[in-house]
Amino acid sequence: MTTDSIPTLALMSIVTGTSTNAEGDALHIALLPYVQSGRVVRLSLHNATPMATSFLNASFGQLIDACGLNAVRASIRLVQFVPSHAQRLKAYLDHYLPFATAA
Amino acid sequence: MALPYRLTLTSTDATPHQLSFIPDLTAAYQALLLQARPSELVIDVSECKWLSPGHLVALACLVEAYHNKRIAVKMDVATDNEVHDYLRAIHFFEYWKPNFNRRTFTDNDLDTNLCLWQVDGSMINDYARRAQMYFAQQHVPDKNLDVLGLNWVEMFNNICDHASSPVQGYCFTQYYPNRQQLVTAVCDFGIGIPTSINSLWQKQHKARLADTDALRAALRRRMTTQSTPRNRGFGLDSLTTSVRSLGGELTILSNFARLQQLPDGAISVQPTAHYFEGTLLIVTLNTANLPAVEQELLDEEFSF
Repeated sequence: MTTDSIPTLALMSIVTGTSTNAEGDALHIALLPYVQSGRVVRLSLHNATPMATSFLNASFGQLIDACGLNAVRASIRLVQFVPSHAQRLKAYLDHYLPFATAA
Repeated sequence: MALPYRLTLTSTDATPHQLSFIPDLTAAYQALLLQARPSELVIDVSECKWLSPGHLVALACLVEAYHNKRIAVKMDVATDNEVHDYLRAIHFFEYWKPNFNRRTFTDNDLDTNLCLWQVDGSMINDYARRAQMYFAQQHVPDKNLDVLGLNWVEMFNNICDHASSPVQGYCFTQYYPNRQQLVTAVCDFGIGIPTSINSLWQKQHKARLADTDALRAALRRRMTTQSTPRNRGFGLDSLTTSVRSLGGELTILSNFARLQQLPDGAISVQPTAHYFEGTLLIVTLNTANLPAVEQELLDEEFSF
């Protein structure tokens, strides 16, 4: 258990699922103030369901578009996670390029 | 004068990927588009020895299409027919009765499948959660079914975001214990992936692709038709990648193209002689290849 002043957001308190754009939007709104201002925030993935691409696009994708990849990487830390969820998120960030029209 | 349309389903090859009577289903759907619509649809399964999940979801879409046009659907079957028994066990005949909710969990008499379920945006989380829990408890308690859940969601989102289907799609998951296979089929009667890709191409003043090339192109990462503002073209790529990583198989039938991804990851795309209205996706996973259940890491912090 951490005792520092870094706030922790619980993913499954913000959304009921991790499948859709709408759920991703909700996470985006919750995380945006931290990433925008360069503050560090912990995101707890306790009991999280697998994260679909629509959800990731609307949450982390939008954050990257708005604030840049480095800002997202610097601000968000994962806690209470299973390794495959962390790997999936990392892979998403690693492969993300700012949105552009399809080739 | 309108006449009944008789759809005779025959199948002999008992493999989850066989799609032999899809052309007949398509023809029955196209009969609805004629000026003189059929007076009723009569489905004869007496010569049908096997019903794959792909057949079942396509058949459900067909019945839904006739139901939407207020045309009666009858099953003409011998009572000792195995397919009839199977359909009865999964309560297929109940689905289009008044007040039956096709968009929620329906209990059935077999413990190797999760029910036939109509796809819409509101059921995505519920289906993925229930299906994961059901198969974990019933059949593969020591396996991590996250990949399965993700596949379902990617397929459902594909329908909800892209299909523009006049008929709500259907999904079905069947477990084959002897083969150690979990087979999920999802079907819609929408515009189809090649048509969707070519519509985008047309807007961009590019030459039209053959359906086979369009279907292959749809799997490319970052290929998006931008049917919703948040789409980035990762969904089908995510599906093919996760199926490949587990040595599973993927079949996509859409318009005049059929794509097959084999357990070794090799992809082949063939033209088909018969047009398929919409998209049929079938994912087969070998449960022996699924990863073990993971423990949550409570004392670690992950930085990107």
